[in-house]
Amino acid sequence: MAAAAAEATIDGGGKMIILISADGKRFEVTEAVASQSQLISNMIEDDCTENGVRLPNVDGDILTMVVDYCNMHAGDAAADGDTTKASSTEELKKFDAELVQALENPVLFKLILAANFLNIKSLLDMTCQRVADMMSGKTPEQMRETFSIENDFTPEEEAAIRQENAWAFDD
Amino acid sequence: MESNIGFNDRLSNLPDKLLHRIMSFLSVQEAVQICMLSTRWQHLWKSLPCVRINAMEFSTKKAFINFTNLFLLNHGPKPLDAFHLSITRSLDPIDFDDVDLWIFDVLSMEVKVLSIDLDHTRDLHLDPFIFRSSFLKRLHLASMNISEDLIRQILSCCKQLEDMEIIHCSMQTNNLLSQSLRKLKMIRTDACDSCVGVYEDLSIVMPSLRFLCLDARGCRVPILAEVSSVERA
Repeated sequence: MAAAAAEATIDGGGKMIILISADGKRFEVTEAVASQSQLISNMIEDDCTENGVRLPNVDGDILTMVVDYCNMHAGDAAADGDTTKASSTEELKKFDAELVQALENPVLFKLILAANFLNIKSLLDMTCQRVADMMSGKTPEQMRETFSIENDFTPEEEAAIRQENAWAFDD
Repeated sequence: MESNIGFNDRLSNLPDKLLHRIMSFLSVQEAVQICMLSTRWQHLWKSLPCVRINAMEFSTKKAFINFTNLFLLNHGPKPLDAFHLSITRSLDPIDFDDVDLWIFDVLSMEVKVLSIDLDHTRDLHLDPFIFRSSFLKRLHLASMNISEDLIRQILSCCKQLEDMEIIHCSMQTNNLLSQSLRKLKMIRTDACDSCVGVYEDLSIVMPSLRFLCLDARGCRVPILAEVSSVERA
């Protein structure tokens, strides 16, 4: 899937670089696509992508998602690029919505860590927003259940914390 | 879901920085309320670097004021990077003293980015003398009256201020002087009486200014002095 997506933009962004995941999978992408990652953008500037970029803390399946995302969003970054190649806003919204909806624990958290490591702000915001949406409007007990969080307070401690922070509960 | 609660808790294992980013997408009340989840979450809100408090999200004025007072009292000891405060007219009138104290508090918490929107709440004027900071870099003021004293104090006593936006404000001054400001944006789009000729005889003396954006209907071009380095106007 990722390879096909990469090919689609091959003639759009000039030089190609190779990204190598923790488990040795290789992804060939244009510099324009890869430089949405601030980390890789800096490496391109410093001219150290010649032998491929090893990403020792990003697994192949996660990197596939990141590369797909960057291919879809390459149009945003290259403002003066070929606009016919760039995905339409509508398409992008649909792609992002589907990607984010499909994300579940633990892939969601791996993607957050990858977006953080690679420094791709839009992907990081999108994934963090997804977690916030999953928390919002839930009681503490429902949140613990959603994210498998262990309640390590004793009932007495819990009551004391609720009391201490009563001002934060608008009731 | 697996029965081994806690074992699969990848959310709590994220570093503080990422949990703070997630919390920034919640309302500020929800961000504090998650202190109930577990010990990992208990104190996280106290080091939230960017805080947005919007009066609209509270059911009563009392709840809003009480929350903001206690939030600022208990936040820390890490400095606050950014603070955004939005008041709304629909709540009962808010005491100036409360707002002034909050601004004073966040400036003493070394805030770098400050945004205040007073929603044209009548008779609400900020006390100029709370504005004194060696950390404030960006200031956004919206929908308020800005007295001559206030703008003079801000420009002379916030020595690091580089970027200021004044949106939908009425301003009683003709002279803007700043040594540090690099970017200034002033926008008035609503056609009210007080904004006719709002920039008439306005004089801007800012030797460091690189970016200037003025926008108001039917106003004359202001006098620019010592802004020779402006690149975009």
